[in-house]
Amino acid sequence: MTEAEFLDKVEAWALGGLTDLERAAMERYLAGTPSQACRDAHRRAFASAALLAAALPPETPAPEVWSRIEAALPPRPAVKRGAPAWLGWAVAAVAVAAAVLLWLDRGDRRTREARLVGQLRDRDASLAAVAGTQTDLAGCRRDLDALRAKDILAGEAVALLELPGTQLIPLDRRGPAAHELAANAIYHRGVKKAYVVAANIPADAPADGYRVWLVRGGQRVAAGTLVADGGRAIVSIPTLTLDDGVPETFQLALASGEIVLESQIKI
Amino acid sequence: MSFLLALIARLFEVDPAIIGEIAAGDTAALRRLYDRLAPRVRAVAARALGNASDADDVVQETFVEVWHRAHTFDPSRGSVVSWVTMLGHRRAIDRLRRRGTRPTAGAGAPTPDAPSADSPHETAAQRQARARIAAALAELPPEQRQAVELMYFEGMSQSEAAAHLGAALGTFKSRVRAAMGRLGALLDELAPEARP
Repeated sequence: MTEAEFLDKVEAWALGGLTDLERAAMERYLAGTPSQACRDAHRRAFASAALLAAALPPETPAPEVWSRIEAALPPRPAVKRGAPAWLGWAVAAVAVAAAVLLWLDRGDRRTREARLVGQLRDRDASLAAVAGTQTDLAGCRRDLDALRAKDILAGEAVALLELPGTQLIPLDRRGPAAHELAANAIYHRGVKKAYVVAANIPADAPADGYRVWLVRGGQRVAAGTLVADGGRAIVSIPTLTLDDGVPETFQLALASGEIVLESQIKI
Repeated sequence: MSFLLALIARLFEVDPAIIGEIAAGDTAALRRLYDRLAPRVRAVAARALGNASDADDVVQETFVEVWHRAHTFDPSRGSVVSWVTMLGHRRAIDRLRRRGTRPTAGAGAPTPDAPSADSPHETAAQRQARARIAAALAELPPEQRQAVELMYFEGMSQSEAAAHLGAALGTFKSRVRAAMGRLGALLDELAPEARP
């Protein structure tokens, strides 16, 4: 098989459109020393094909399926040899993860792992950004502290999104605003937590940020301020505010009181 | 990519370290992966096979295969999600081809453009991401969408699918390439870390 033949068939392979013989030939070619272009095309084709599965509503297997899987697993000693090259990297990553998890020391394990993955990635991005814009140590430290605080909020918002029952509430534009400011509220009634995240914040946004309001029983309740940071912002709604009952509406407003975004969904 | 999309994208990731744990014989790690991805494998198998019992069998076979083949997983070839989805899809298609008959397209099974059937186990972010993917698929020109669906869900080879549509094989391949290009663009938006 040539590279051109591989590239010609890789998408059909990812979609399951090759015969058994063609599939085996593709496997053999990939197991050899394919070019980077072939490896990239393979990775991209299979990731794209997986989107077709991701578009389907998930279906929970019958409860006995897991029992059948467990029964089918032979007892197996831990792998001592033949470990793939990437395993060393994975072990190192897990070690780093464990150290940071100890630091976090809250939430259940799965939530902390999910948060950790995001925080490590965000931290890398933060370091790169800071390295490119700051020359003095004090400035670096200030920026890192600010970014770290934002990362923790984002991690908490992700954890809330992972909980069944969390509502994702879009805030729609009020009035003829010309900019593309967009925001969503993430709200869980049971655990009484909510965040508002905003993106595409315009450069001429008010320096003191946007006011977040909850409306309950026709009354507006102050629920924090969204201050732009690189076009994005996130704010955690104070728990005390949510303790008083379920809000009907989330609003984003200017300091003057003019509402710019508002949720239309009754919560 | 919007801040919210960045949050959603994180939910599509599975730490590849979990495959190392499975390769080392950790059944709890396999269970975690099962909880995360079995509903997706079940959905694609049910869509292809049109039968709940067969779909459950595919889920079982897929995760037993994950257990046996974990040591062969190579993260440079794709993500954990892509790998497990591929294993499940391949088993569903193989079973469909062995059966020799295909369910009527879409009969009794959800289609990618009917994303509103909420699952109680689906989070808000997952629903949001799924709706976005389904909307992108719905925007594909019908001939492109048919081309990918005949192979992915009906188990047809590209020659069979081209003949089914009455298209020349070259024309059919062009449609598939265009459709996959659009899916790739969506992938860049939703999960940029999957970009080669």
